[in-house]
Amino acid sequence: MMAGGERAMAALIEPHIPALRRFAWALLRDRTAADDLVQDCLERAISSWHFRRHEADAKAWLFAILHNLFRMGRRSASRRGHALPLDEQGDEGLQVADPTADQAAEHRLIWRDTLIALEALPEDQRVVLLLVGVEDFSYDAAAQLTGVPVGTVMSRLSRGRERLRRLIAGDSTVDLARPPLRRVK
Amino acid sequence: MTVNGDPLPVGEDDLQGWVDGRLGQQRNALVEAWFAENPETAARFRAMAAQRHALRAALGEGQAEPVPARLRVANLLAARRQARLHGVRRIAAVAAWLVIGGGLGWAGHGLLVPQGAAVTATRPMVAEALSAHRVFAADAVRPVEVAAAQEAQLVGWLSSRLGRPLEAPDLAQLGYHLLGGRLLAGAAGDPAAQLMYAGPGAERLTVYLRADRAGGAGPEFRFAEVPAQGITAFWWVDRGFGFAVAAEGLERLALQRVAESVHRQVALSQAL
Repeated sequence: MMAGGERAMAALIEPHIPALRRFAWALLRDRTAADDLVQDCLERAISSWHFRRHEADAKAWLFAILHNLFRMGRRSASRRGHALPLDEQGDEGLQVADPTADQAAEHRLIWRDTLIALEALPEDQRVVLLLVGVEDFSYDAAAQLTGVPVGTVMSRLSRGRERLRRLIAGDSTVDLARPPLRRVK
Repeated sequence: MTVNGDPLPVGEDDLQGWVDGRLGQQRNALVEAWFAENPETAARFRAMAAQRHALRAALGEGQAEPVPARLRVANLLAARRQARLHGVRRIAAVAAWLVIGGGLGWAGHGLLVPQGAAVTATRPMVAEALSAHRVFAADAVRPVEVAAAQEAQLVGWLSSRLGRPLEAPDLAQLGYHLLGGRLLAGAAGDPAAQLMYAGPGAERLTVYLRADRAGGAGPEFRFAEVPAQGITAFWWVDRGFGFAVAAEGLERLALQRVAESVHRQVALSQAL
């Protein structure tokens, strides 16, 4: 049984769990490790729920905890037994569900390439691409969440997207030394 | 390119905003017009927008699957209650043992917190801690003198100035990480140290300590506050040293948990 306060907390946390799992999986590419990270994040969120600023957005706060844990590498994997059977492999979500549907299959190949290219990005760029492009955080929120100025977020986004594009385009000369954010005329 | 009435040329941030579909109508039109004149750049950014969609689609795939039981809040809460029950039993057992032995040590400490009474700070050490919290916790630019990245240096420096081996308490379990610290002058001219922590939402918490040989206080927790500013602290004096853990707008119980953790770590490091 949950008390009223706990029910309110659950109502604020639970809607974000699927997105937290998606973000964690995109960072770790391993379902079990990702769920370990999410579990760790949720445990901390629950135990420090009262420390949260009340005006703070629960989603941004949860993502900030998860991102911090990821960065600290504190993935307390296998701390307790896994309740889930290990029925998922890293690429499972990418398998073709209906091989007769050519168009769907082609989409899935594109998705697959995109994910492979994403993995080749430097971690900072990958994080920003995910937070902004997939999780719909504003540039300011992504800056706050990762603890860097918004200008840094913009330049990581800019470099990350350019790099991703060139990787997908098969450009073998992808360089790390693209000039920093500038105005194009 | 410039357009009448809009002096800002199209910038990289506009282009990223376009990829994310976050531009206002006017700005969006400006970028589209600019694309018409710069087809090569336009092709690059259209590819990025397509890749953004592909990424969302690829990652959105597994979203329909149910959340595993171990990630349900209710289950996590139940596990936590179980663990806490064990903890309480253990502390109770230790406390009972110590009482039988004729003394109550710090382990029973959390049980002795006076409930309810809000004591306003009159002790200089506590007043300093509260005002130091007010001044520095609000400083967004330079909250600390020495950052946590130089923790060894910071700790060595503060230890030598305070004349006491010091360790920065680890509050990660409670969601706080060390930002750094600074040296301050206590009222009686004694050097004092302030350690600053940031919580998960970047909220600040400080630990203030200095020699405090004035009598009238011991290792039991006392509560102090500046009601007008919402700054509260738990403080205690242990073997000639005063400690205060302060925060703003934090629930009393949550602050107490941090204070207990600091107290325990200080007690342990002294025992070594």
